[in-house]
Amino acid sequence: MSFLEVSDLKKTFAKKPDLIARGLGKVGVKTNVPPVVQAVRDASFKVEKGEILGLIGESGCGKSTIARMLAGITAPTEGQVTLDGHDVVGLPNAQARAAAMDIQMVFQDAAAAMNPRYKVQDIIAEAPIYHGRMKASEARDKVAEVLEAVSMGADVADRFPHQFSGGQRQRIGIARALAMNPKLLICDESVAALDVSIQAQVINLFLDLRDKFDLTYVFISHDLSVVRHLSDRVAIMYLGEIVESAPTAEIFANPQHPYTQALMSQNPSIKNRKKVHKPLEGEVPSPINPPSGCYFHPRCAMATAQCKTDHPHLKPTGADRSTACHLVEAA
Amino acid sequence: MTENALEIRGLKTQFSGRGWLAKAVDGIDLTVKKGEVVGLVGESGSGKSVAGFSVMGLIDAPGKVVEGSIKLSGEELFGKSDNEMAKLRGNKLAMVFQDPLMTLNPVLRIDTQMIEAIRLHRNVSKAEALKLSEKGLADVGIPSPGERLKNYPHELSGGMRQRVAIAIALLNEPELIIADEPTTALDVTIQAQILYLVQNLAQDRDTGLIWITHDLGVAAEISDRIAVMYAGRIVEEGPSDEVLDRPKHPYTVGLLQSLPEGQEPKGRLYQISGMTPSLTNLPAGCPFAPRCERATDICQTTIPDQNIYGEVRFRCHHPSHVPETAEATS
Repeated sequence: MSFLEVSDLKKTFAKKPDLIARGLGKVGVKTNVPPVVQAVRDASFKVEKGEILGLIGESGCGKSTIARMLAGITAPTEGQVTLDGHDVVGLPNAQARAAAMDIQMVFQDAAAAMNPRYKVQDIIAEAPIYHGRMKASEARDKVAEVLEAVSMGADVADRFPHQFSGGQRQRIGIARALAMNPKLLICDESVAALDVSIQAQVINLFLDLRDKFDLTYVFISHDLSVVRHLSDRVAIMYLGEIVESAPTAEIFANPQHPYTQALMSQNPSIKNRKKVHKPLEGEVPSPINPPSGCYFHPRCAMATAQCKTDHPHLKPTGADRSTACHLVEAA
Repeated sequence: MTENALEIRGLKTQFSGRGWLAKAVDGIDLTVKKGEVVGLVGESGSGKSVAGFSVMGLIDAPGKVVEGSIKLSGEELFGKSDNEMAKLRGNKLAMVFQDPLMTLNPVLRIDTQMIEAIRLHRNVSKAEALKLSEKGLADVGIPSPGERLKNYPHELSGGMRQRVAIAIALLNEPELIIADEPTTALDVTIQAQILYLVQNLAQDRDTGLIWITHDLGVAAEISDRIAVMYAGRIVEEGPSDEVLDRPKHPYTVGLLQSLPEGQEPKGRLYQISGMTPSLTNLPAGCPFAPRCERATDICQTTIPDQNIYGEVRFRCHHPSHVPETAEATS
């Protein structure tokens, strides 16, 4: 059994019927069904202990929804998440809650994730004290400890979030997650808003902390070079589904899904000078009304008649890798 | 006719208040030829956007362009009144912002906004302006432009909005476009589309383009020349290949090394120590000296002059990729 197992995770967002619709519903009159957004259609993946899974996708593909479901912020519509053998979603008992505490999240915008009127000390200590993972009497020392882990002095504990630069605030955000003694960290675009030189510092920090605290990561990003550097495994998402999943070295050496191939050729690189090749056309379709068949077929140059009607599912296509595409032979 | 779309010499823009003075742009020189793309690269607070706004004449109090010369196709812009600048903006000079909603009026339809932009600068009928607008949208690759003209900005996706903003910038065939992080908020595949589009448009129309970005990868893909800014100065400027393959300034070297691209997976990334200095309190010597591994005594006291080696200009006392014997001229 893997450390983190996610199976058949689904999330549907539906609009609540308005007052009139509810009133009409009560007297038995049917109204128009409100649109339903399937943000995550069917996601299954496994992460081993100490591994870093990179989750890549464009806006609206559902990667942040997966992050929020794993962190327990959003309840899944269907599906199971087990961490170390414990079910962490869906079970309202104390054990499930305790297991869910082992999963912590680091957000993209650290400033928005902190109460501007709290001092760093309280930002970091609030959750662990509330959940009984830290004694109030020890809070000072423990906070100093996690701050040191992110290379910040204990003296910053008495300052407010606005007194720090973006990179420092992100470190505080990481310290706050560490204060809960997590086993799994979900990083949702955690380095996307940082300058290049600061981004390098935070990436180094993530790698150091993994060794030091024995952490496992789900690292969500749209930046392929960051994911390539950090991850052991990569999963590519498109319109609420995982379309390809493989070990990092293999997926970058031999991308199988046409969408993965497009992403890789179009990721800006300092090696491409005055690049001229033609980009992928079209935009990500709306998840309210996805195309028939393979969701990628309207943008795919290699689409066949089958792609327009049959929806491909993830199938094993090699050692430890799988792809959802009709054009890739199953292994 | 000069060959240069833009020539900036010794441009200084400062922001000041009671007891403080921030030298946001501190004496930059930059030349953009017609049809050339110059990538202006720097981290937050380096002054790259202020430089762009200074050229556009969009610096408001407490900021002021205090010194320098900005020549647009030979015409001096420094010292022009707001009215004169307003006539140039959207006409010979255009800007594309990171957030297209900054350019677009949310309560007006796209056609209204485009027709206004054309008729403000050109004496054409409404019907003709509408035709030009439709062609403008078609040129930036918007499908069914006739229908899109009737849309409001919120009805379009982010990528489409940015295309509309670019179409508006191009409407009056400007001589120079300044694009300030126009693809930063877009997805990778959409960014690739915009880069492809802008590159072709600039070439076909012989427009000079300054592409302001923090992303070296984007700058590499689009630029003929790259200028790297640090603390209000251009510390290195030259042909893209030179700057990226043989960087002279230690800051450029550091930026390139800190990219995860091309590094050993899971290896430690290079870190530039310290932080960007505050613009109100710059060090006496080279602003990069406190973070620089190569800094010596002279770097602490003397601001480096602009040196030229080959086609590259740089401001450093101890450059790399420059032979010791080479006579650096300033």
